[in-house]
Amino acid sequence: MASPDTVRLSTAAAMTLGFQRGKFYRNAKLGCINLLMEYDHGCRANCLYCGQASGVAEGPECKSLIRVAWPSYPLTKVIAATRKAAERDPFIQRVCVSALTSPEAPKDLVRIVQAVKAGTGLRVSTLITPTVFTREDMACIRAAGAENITVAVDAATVELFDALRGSVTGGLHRWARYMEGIADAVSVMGNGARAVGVHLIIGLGESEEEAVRFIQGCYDRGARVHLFSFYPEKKAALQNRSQPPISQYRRIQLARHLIDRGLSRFDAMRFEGGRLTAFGLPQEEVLAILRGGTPFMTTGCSGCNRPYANETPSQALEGKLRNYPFAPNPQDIGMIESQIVERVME
Amino acid sequence: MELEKTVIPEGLRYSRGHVWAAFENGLCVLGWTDYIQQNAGDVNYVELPEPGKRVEKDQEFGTIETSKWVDRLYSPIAGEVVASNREVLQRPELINQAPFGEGWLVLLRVDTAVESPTLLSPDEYAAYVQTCEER
Repeated sequence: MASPDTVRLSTAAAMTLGFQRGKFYRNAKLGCINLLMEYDHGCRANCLYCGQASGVAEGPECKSLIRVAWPSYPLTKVIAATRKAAERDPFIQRVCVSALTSPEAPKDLVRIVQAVKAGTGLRVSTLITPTVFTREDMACIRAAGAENITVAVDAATVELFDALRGSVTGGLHRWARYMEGIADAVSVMGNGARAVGVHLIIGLGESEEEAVRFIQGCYDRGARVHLFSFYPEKKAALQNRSQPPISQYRRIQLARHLIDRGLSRFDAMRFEGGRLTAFGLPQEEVLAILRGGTPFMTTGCSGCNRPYANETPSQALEGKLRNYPFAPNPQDIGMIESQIVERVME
Repeated sequence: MELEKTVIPEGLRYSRGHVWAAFENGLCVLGWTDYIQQNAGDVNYVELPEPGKRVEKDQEFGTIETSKWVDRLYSPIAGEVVASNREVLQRPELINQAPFGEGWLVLLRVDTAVESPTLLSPDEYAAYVQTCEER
């Protein structure tokens, strides 16, 4: 089993395409079909929070990533099912293909993008690692039809990056190359096009100040930031690390939203002991934005809503839904407001 | 996606919450039906009450979770919990594999020998499942 002939589907995608049975809590729907490339040797990287890490993945059969299993299917079957599903339900608007760290990944990703684009007609996003993807590779991906390129930096500081996925872990990734990779992607996709994304995981050990500084830096480079809340994956090195407090995540979500919309900037916000205490806007404005609910929805390429990827459905039942895959209702907004707790100050 | 053939054993009663009930000598075993376990997906977590807890009719007695879904379990009958199936707490997949056997959930000592009128016969439950499918 290997890409480009086969790919892995997220559990949500497998359910949506009819390959696997299942229901979504609160009738959430999936807007983006998430695919993961695969190779017999697995991923070459060793990121300590990831179930695919070479140090723990137990070979190509290990299927865990972001809380769920990712079963393998022939690409042609996935494309056919995606086309049919999208024809039935236009809520499905995108396919995202994530690459493993492997030397074959760049050329195989191009083939997958071409096939998905031709077979589904949907928008295609790609998640790549600059460790093995050059600027020229990114240009090929764009030429193949991808509308978005995203780089999973994940860690907000170089120290955390090195400690969790770089030189300290014996991993392949280097912060400097990742920052160059973001620049490469922006150069290829166009600055101002909002077609380049950066993944950031909250809860890996960064302070709120470090997270927001990193977010601003990405936007200043021409990339958007998509947030994830750390979830301890079984058998990963960080399996015993706790999820970040939800109040912390909510503040970062709000800050990210304000930066993304150009409503505020890192340098206008205030921090005490690393903790975000003011958003750089009058309180009533911040509360109005908070109460709209949008900042707390899943952030990503359009259509990407990743239902229950960062919390269990039971946590969602308790009101601890971190990334809402649908617009929060008034009860949700009340819960979110109580979770932020501190008064948002001018 | 079409569901596999749903098993609805005779001799049991069923609730609209997809819980089956087996009565004998003042005791009642509750479990999850084959229809809902097929529909919901692979169970990866279940929460059940401790022995001695009292459960009222239509009251929540636990929760059940799959990768992307969770629901509360509601008892179709009032009684006291005699036992919860410790095995499914360790191996929740039993609820999918043997919903009417090893995947049972709780054993109640019921308040009354008279079955609740809201419980459905197998035929009534089959008709109800059909309406669920048509929604």
